[in-house]
Amino acid sequence: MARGPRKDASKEAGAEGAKDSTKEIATSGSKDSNESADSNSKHPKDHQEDFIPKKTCLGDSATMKRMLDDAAIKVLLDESELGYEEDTALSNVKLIVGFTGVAASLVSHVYPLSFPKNWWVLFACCAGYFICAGILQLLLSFVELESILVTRATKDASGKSTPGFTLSSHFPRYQEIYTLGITPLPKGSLALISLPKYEPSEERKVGGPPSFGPPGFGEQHWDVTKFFDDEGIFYEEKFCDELRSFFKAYESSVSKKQS
Amino acid sequence: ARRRRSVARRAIVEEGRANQADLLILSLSAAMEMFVDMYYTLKDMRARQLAHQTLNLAMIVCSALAIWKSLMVVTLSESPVVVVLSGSMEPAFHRGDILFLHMGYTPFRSGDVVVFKVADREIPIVHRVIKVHEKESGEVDLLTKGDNNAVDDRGLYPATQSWINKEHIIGRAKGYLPYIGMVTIIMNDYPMVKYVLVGLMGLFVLTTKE
Repeated sequence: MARGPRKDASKEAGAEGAKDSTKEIATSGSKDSNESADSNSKHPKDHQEDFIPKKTCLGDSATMKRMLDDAAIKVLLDESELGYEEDTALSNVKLIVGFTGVAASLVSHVYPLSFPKNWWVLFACCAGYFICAGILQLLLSFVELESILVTRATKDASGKSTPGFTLSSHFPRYQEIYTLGITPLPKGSLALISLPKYEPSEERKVGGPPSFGPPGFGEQHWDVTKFFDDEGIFYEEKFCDELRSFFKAYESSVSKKQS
Repeated sequence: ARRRRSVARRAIVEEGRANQADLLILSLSAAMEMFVDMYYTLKDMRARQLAHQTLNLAMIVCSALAIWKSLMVVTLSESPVVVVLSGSMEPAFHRGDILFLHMGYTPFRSGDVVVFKVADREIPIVHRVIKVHEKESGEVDLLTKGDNNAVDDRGLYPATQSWINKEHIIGRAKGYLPYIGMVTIIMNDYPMVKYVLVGLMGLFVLTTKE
């Protein structure tokens, strides 16, 4: 009969549609995060309950850079292994200046006198706020640049102290090479103001050994496709291992040059 | 043939409904994933990073506040931007228009559109000046009327008052934007909209990766 096969065809189409939709929901994280700017999602692995891997959309460079930077900072500051300490001077300056500006604008709002008697207070508070915001913006645009961490000077077991350094990361949008650079900073993070912008060296030897140029400097390039798979899951442990070997190589090069 | 058509139509309708359900599920799951991701981002941040992101959010809010206060400083008026709430100035200004106010230094004249606040009313009123009496002492008496009203504003002033003076005036209307004020009117009538919008904005700024 004409009815029979056609009905079956429509039922099959409905069943396939349902299957497709469940597949779509499973990968909706990667598809939908294509539309929104700052989304990444974590979903639990099937066989490991506590470990939740980080996942991102492969086109979202900002999130990827943030994940790589966070991994580098975590490895450096980890007490049990490398145990560097963060130099917080510049960060404190930014926080103090910023919250001063916030306080100035709040004072302008809650000052008890009514308009227009409080004109001078308003003028002073607005001027103060814009000055603080300007200083903050200057610090951001001219001092911090690519630096993601500044460490304090460390003292060896033998009492020799190595100066602290700044860790800069370079990861242009939509490209695949992530560069970490180490620049020594003898006077602490406030001296960042005198450093020129960190430029990775011209030939990017991806996967090659790290290069240690002038004393205290270090640089290595990585291909990020080795640490993110097709669905965007970030293999943090693998990246941390590479980072540890890079930092250990840096430390040995520094002690070699010192001795 | 008719049976075939009706079966095909039913199949299309069912597929349409399945697609709508799919879309709903997809959008809900995307929203849930976004909020779960925000929760994890906040949880994983170091204390110092969280302080910096909070500073970012505070700077954004305070720059809006500082811009408003500097407008007050420059225009010398208590409320430099107002929204027209009633239709008493039609056809010049409609409900939902935004007016930019400026006190100005020139004397008040008939025809000026002023925003004023009288003693027992909280909400300022936008009407036109129709009579001006300048006294030798420097005081000025003004009478106002809405363009669309049949009578002048003496009914709106407090019982003992027949004129308004300079101290009641917030500013003169110097410029206007049509329709944009409807957003403010909606947020006023449904305060939930305000809280939801501000809450979402705060979450986005705290968890942004750039």
